[in-house]
Parts: sequence; C-alpha cells; structure tokens
Amino acid sequence: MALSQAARQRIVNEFIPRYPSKRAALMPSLWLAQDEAGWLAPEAFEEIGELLDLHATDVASVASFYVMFHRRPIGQTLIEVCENPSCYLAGSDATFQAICKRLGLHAGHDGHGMQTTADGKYSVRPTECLAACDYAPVVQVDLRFHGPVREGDVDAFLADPSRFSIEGKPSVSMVHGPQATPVEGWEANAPPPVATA
Amino acid sequence: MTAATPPATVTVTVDGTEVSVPPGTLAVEAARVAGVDVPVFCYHPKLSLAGACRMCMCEIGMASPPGQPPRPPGLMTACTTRVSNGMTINTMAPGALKAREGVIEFLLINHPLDCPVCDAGGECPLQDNSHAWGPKESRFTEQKRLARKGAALSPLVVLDQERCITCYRCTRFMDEIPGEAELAFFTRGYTSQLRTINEEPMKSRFQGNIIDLCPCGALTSETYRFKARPHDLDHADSVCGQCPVGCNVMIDTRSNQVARVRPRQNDAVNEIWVCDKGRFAHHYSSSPNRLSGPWVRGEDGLHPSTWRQAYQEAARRLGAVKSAYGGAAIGVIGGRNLTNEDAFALARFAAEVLETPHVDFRVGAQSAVVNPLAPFGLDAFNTGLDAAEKAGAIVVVGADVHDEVPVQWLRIRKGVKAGARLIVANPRATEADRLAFHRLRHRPGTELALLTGILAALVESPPVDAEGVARDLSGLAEAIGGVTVEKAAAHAGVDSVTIRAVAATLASSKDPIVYVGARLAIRHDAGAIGLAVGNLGRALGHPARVNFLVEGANGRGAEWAGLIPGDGGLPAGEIVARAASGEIKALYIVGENLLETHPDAAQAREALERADVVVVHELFPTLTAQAAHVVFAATGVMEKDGTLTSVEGRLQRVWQAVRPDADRAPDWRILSDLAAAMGAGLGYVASADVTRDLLADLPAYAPQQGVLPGSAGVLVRRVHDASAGSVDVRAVPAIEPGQAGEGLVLVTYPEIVGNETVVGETPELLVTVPEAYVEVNRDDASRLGISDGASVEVRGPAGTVTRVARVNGRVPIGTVFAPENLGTPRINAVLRWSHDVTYVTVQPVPVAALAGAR
Ligand code: SF4
Ligand code: SF4
Ligand code: FES
Ligand code: FES
Repeated sequence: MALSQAARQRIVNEFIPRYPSKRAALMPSLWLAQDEAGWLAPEAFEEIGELLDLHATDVASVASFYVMFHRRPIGQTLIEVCENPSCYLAGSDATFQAICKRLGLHAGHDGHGMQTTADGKYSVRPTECLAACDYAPVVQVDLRFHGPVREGDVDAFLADPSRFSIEGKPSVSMVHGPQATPVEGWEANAPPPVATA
Repeated sequence: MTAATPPATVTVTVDGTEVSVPPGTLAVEAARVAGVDVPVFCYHPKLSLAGACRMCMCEIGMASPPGQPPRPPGLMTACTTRVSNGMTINTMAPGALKAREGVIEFLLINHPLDCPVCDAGGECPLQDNSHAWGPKESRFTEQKRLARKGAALSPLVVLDQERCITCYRCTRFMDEIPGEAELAFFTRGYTSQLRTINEEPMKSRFQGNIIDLCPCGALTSETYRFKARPHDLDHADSVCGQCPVGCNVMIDTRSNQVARVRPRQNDAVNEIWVCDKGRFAHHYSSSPNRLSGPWVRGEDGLHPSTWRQAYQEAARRLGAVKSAYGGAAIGVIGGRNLTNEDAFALARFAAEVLETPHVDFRVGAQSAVVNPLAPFGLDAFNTGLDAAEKAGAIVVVGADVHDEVPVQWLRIRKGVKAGARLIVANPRATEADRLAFHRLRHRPGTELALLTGILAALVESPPVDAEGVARDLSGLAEAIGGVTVEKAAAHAGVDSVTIRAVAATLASSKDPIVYVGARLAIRHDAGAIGLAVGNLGRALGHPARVNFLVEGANGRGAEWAGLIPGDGGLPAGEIVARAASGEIKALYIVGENLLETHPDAAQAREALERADVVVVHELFPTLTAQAAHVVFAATGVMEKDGTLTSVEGRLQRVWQAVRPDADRAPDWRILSDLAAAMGAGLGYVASADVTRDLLADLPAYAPQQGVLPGSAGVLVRRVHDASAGSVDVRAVPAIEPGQAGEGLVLVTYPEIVGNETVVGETPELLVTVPEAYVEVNRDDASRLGISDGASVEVRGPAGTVTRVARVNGRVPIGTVFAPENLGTPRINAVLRWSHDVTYVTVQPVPVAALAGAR
C-alpha cells in the first residue's frame, strides 16, 4: 500500500470536505502521498483514485503535468538550477555544469531529465524561473531558494548549502554580473506616448 | 412585479443573415442554423466544451447597452461563446481568416507529412481544414517533433502520437460518455503524450468510438488499418445485428468484403455511438469457416449435399414425424437473431407447414407468458430508448445494462448525469452500480419479493401529487395480499430500510423509468413479475413507463413475428426438455447454438440425440449444427435486405452490404423452398414479398399501413386493448419460498463480448476476451482456500467445469457468478434447466489433477 492509514484519513476527513468536488482534493492528496514516500508510485495513483472516485489514469495524468511531482524515485536531496534568462545571464549554466561535475553526473543536460547520483544522495535537474531572479543564479534545494550560487561557489555550496540560503537575506540588486550600462539611445526605441483624446 | 422572463429566442446575425436561436446557443451552432459551417477540431456537439484548438475563431460583436457607443467586435472562439441578442458573428472577417491560417500553420508544424500512408486520408478534418483555411506554405524549416507511431493503445485502437493535435476529443469521450477515464494526456505542452496508466491496454467496450471522433489520423482501427481508402468503399445503411438496442450502422465494404462498421447517427437510438462488439465483430461474414451449402446426415455422419437433396431429406424426415405423431411432435426454436422476414417466414412455416404450436425464440424459457405486461394492456417495452435521458429516476432490476444493452447504458449514464436517480437491483455488482443512487443486492431468484417489497413500501407512504394529495393505493394493498416490507426484505435478503428508501426516491421522482432484465421475462414466475412491475408503474402514476428487455438482436421482432408459443404451445426450455424425454420427436432450430445457449447442456445434448430429426439453419458448423440431420447454410444480417425490430419496438431497415455466396441462402428462402418440398407453399421469391406480407399481416405493424420506414426507422406504437388498460391493479401472487439447496448460488448471464463464434472470427477482439472465470466472494474464497487467479472446479447439479477464480467483492457471500459465453465447455454444462436456483460447489482443482493435465 502506497498511502499510510493516516494519509488516507487525512484525505477523507480533511481534503475531500474542503472542496465542492472530490476531484478538487487531488492536488493536496498527491502532495501528501509524495511527502510520505518521496515519490509517487503507480499504486499511489490507484489508491488516490479509489478515494476520490477517479480513474488511476486521470490521477497519473494530473501528476505528470507538474514537474514537481515525481513519478520515479529521486535522490535524498533534490537540487534544481534555474536556467531561465536572469539566472542564465548571471552564469547559471556554469553553476549547473559544476554541480554535475562535482557529483559525478554527466555535465550538460539533455532536455529536462533528472539525474540521480549512484549512491542515491542527490538528484539534479535544471528548472524554469523560480521567481527569485534577484538572487540569480538561483539554486533550489528541496524546494528552498539558495543564491546567488556561482560556478566558483559550488564546493562551498555542496558542503553547506545553508550558507547560501536566501532566507533572511535582503533582496539584492538585480545585476550580479559585470555592471550593465544602459544601451545608448534606448529611449529612442521607446513606444510613442499614447495619444490622449 | 414579476421577474422578467428570459426571452424565448435571441436574434443574431451570421455573415449578414439574421437567425433566431434559443438563448444559450453556442455561436458555432447559431452559425450552423444560418447555414454556415465554422471549421472546428476540438468542438463536438456530444462532448463538453474544451476551447482547446482555436480553429473556430470568428469575429464576434456584442450589441452594446442602449445609449452606449458601439463596441468593436473581437476574435472569439465560436465553440465556447454563447449567443446574446444582437450579436454579430462574422465567420469570414479578415482577422478570423488570419487567425485560422495561423492555427493551421501552427498545428502543421509538428504534424508529419503522413497523408499518403494515413488511414484518415480522404476523410480527415485536419486535411480538409488545411486545404480550406491553411497557408499555402509552411515557414517551418526545423526538425519536426518525433513521437510514438503505430503504438497500440489496445488490441483494437492504434495511436500515432505525431499526428495528434491534442484536441482532447478522445479523452473527453472516455471520461464523459462511458465514464471510463482510462486514456489521458501525460506531461504537457510540446511533450504531451496520450496514454493509459502503466501502458495498460484500454479495456473499455466503447473505445472504438474515439477512432470516429479523432479529427485526424492519430487514432486508427487495428482491424481497418491499411485496408482501404474512403473512395474504395461501398456503403450500406444497416443496423447492428448483435444486440437488441439496434444501433444504426453504416457497413463499408470493399470488393464485397466488410472493411469496417461505423455508427450512423440516430439520436433516438444510438446517437452516434456503437459498442466495440458492434464495430469490430464483423469478420465472421467473410470467414472461410462459414458453412457452405447444405449438409445431410448419412450412415457415417454429415455429408455435403445438393440443395434439392437436402430439401427432400428434411421434407421426408419431418413429414414422417408429422404423419406418425402429428405436428405437435415438432418443436421450433430460434429466431432471435434473424430479420423480421426470416422470423415471419419461420412462424408461418411452423404454423402452416409443420402445424405445431411449439414455437419459441426465447431460448431456455420456462414460461409461456411472452409479454408479462399484457394484463395491463401494455407492450413489453413502452418508453423510447431516448426517454432515459430525461427521466427523474431509472430502475434496473435483474439486468446488467452495460453487458446486455451496451449503448443504452450510455443513454442511462446521460440520464443520470442530467439528474436521474439510478436504482440498481442485481445479485451481482454491475457497471451500473458505479452511478447508482440505491443498490439492492438481492438473493438470486427473489426479484418478485423485492418488487413486492417496494410496492408494500409505497402502500405505506404513497406518492403525493402536485396538489399534495396522496395517491389512493388501497387497491394495491389488496393486490399484494398483506406482504409487508419486512417480510419481502427478509425473503430477498436486503434490508427494509433500503427498500423504503427506494420507494421514497421513486415516489418523489418525476418520470421514472423501470427496466427489467430479459431473463425475468422468460422465467417460470414471469407472469407474476409482470404483475408486480405493471403495478409499480401504476402506483407511481406512470403506468406506461415500465419495460422488459429482450435477448437477441431481433428478439422483439421475433416476438411480434409470432415466434412464440401458440395455443397450448410450450416455451423453448420445455420444448428441449420434452425432446430429451422423447415426447417431442423433431427439432427445427434456426440460428441458435442450443448446446451452448440452452441452460442445461446435458439436456440439450440428450434432446438432439433422441430426436428423430433435427434440422438446423446456421452460419457456422456449431456444435448444434454438427448434431443435426440436415443443416442449411444461411446468410447473415449483413448479407440481406430486410427489417429488424429493436428492443423498444423500432422497425428498422437493413440493406444488403455483402452479396452472399451462391451456396448460402436467406432463411426465408430456405423455408419457402422446404415448404414447397413438403407440398405446401409460402410462395416467397423475394425478400420484399415477405416484408409486404408481414407488414400487412402482423397486428404489430398495422400502424405502418404497409409502408416501410426510411433509414432512421420508426418506433411502432401499438394500439392496445383499452379495457385491459383500465384495470387499476392486478393481484400479485404470493411470494414463493425459494428452492433450498446446499452450497453457493450460481448466477449466470452473457458478458458483453465472449468467445462466441462471431467474435472468434475477429482475433483482435477475441484477445480482449477474458479467460473463462468464476467470481467468488472474498470471504467464501478464504473459507474454501481459493486464491485469486487459481484454477477451480465448479460442480453443479449437471456436471463440473474448470474455471479461473476471480476473488472480489462483486458477488455477495454465498453467491458466485460465471459468464455464459466464456469457456469450453460453457457454464451451462453444470446447469439443470428444471432448477430455478442452481447451487454449486467451488473448490480448488486438486494439485494432482493439475500435474496430470501437464
Ligand atoms: S488522438 Fe485524436 S482525438 Fe485524441 S487528442 Fe489527439 S487528435 Fe484529438
Ligand atoms: S449496443 Fe448492441 S446494437 Fe449497439 S453496437 Fe453494441 S451490440 Fe450493436
Ligand atoms: S530566471 Fe532564475 S529565478 Fe527567475
Ligand atoms: S473548435 Fe473552438 S477552440 Fe477548438
């Protein structure tokens, strides 16, 4: 059985009554199941489906929509490196490669695949904008923000990620790379002011 | 002041044409009313709205409130926008055309250039819309997305993921119509993949419909793949010949072979659906295993013969029995899968040539009562199939509607989704239980008690009409003769609280419908059940909303054609019993494999062996045909012109789709020729002659005044004896004590698809048929040491068969279920026809026996 008795009870007594339809309780149920096991096994889909009157395929399909639901087992610690423009411009690709190299994973990535170290300690994958661009390059460790983590910081970061936690840190300037200078004449490209009647 | 009532119609302008449509109409439908077809992909009138593809963009303008400046029209999806008064819908605005062109260009970016090798080519909405609305050229020069091609979603449906345009028609269908959401999109966006959980094959018996719904070649039929182009095909309007629903179908043939069967829209019958049996099980028509020519038994078995010889032999043997013992020594069985023409010719043949009253299409019937509702002046089936859509409550007693009337199950689901309360009474959990408001799991054979219990509960608290006046049910109280809810409940093995709840639900529902299983109409207590059911309709104030189902694709037609016991005639089960005991000397069997369908295989075997003559009409050399003295090779429904009458009494036409082999003949012709050989004459040379006669002679079709309906068929409403109808209630016989016995009670009925002869000719369908099983309750199983999947012996009064155990909670403790149309030998090998309730023992196959079998 993929779900504990406690989890089942919580789904039935707390999640289902909270919403107008049983299906709406699907997301918290999936979260709960993943919290317990670290990932979502096929049996979890069956069991949640039974509790919520949904076909297991439907449950699995919803889970597959979100990259934060894991349909395969993952390492104990999940490291996600943002690869969207702010972070990328701040050097996140080099950070990602360095992390992979340090952990013995093949550097560079193909698509969005997740890689896990042989000892099962770490899983690493690139991710989309984490909405913490002001700490770019941002690295998320088990859903907590860390940054900036530059290529040269990787050893220290892996030794003790908490030093890079943004929690309690004031927001920093948007620009971490070489000081940007305004493009000359940029005002000229601005759209004409809206004519007012 | 009263609240303003919403206007009955709203007026909108579509491309300059003004039309009035009901409020709430979708813009795309309003356009259709104006004669304008807006191109769509994801929109489908039978499915929920998705707004997924953006193909239907139109420039839509809303009227602005009085005194306000006009609002500029904007691009909107016509498939999700509901009309409002004064709306303008411009389907050809430059902006709309540009948007459509963009959508097509976008869809084609990742669509492979497969048209030359794609089954959909020539009948593909994506192809058509691309030609009509797409850009001339693609600007896309990069690598197209690669994905799964030719992947089996099941043995029947093939997916080409590259072709999929993610319109969600298939997933919406599965979720909404049969309610089996076993197909879904995984991941999202560019990487979306259609699949099932763990890549398990789809199991739904309605999955073939997604092939029709797919607007491109992403979903194709395993049995039709690469078989033809649309322009290669000839078409015949027909009716499915596999069950009494009578789904309208189109049979597409190529070179005189059936290439595929597709549903034909008839909103009164099947809407646009068919089940997988109706769609895929058509290969039998061109099977090399079909019987060809007649066969006659000689000293050393059956030999092929000429038609003339066979007619002479049959005439001689039947004539001998008739002159020695009289016509009443001949029994005629069969006809539930024939056309009306064949059934009518058979009824005439039995009455005029054989001169026997012992005629019955209802295999296994114990009762000579044919229409249990006759005392109420009703037909056996009184509400149209589509009435289920608008019912307030639907009662199903003793039927597995998913398996017996598959497409009607879809209609019942629709009714339930629209608010009907479903009440299901069955000894076993059926698919219908999933939507049931009340479930009654009664003891097998106690339906009369159950129904009487509901009547008693209604007497206790009668329904109240709109004025608050309770119905006077004193007559009913008398009719049920003092049976209390408690007594009936105890007898049926259900609790009285549920019975009262069911009665309360029924009393408070508008327009309830009652469906009663076909088996209850042929059982020894059919008459009593009919009285209880008729009274139920009357008590609820809806006397004509009660219905009995029927077995066989043309069961109703056979009934109306007169293939029923005549004066002093015996029911079919009794005919076999008397043949086995030697009283009946000859059996004339048409299209019925008695050895597999009579609920007592040993008795059927005895009957065939003992009879002086057995004549059989068949498509295949079935076990029964092999036991006959004369066998005539007959043609199937797809091979002839004629009519069928569905369970609801709809007269429908079938047009010949396949020209039959010269060595096979339609049943009516065989009967006519045999009659001539026996010195009589039915005098038929063309099927139209029989049609003309049956329309003229049969009272059922009198309202037709000799006119055949067109492709949509016509619901024949019979004129009933009004005096019978005025009787308010009829006494319901007292509840009989159940037959006591040792062991587990065995329930049997056919699954939707079994390994029957016709299914066996479609290997893709046959592989989806489960191994023959017996369903055992968990508690019984652990008591008996039976594990799920183990081989077990089912021992009944007449014999023993081996089955695979399915241990679950679908049957209650003390009951087991085995499907009738699975396994060799069939489960009828353990049954005794004379037993109303069959007790069996189920035990693991001894290990030694298993080892020995190896
Ligand atoms: S497979 Fe066909 S019906 Fe299903 S989403 Fe794709 S295009 Fe639509
Ligand atoms: S429901 Fe019955 S009539 Fe309709 S397709 Fe299936 S078998 Fe044929
Ligand atoms: S781009 Fe990395 S956090 Fe926004
Ligand atoms: S048809 Fe309107 S969005 Fe698909």
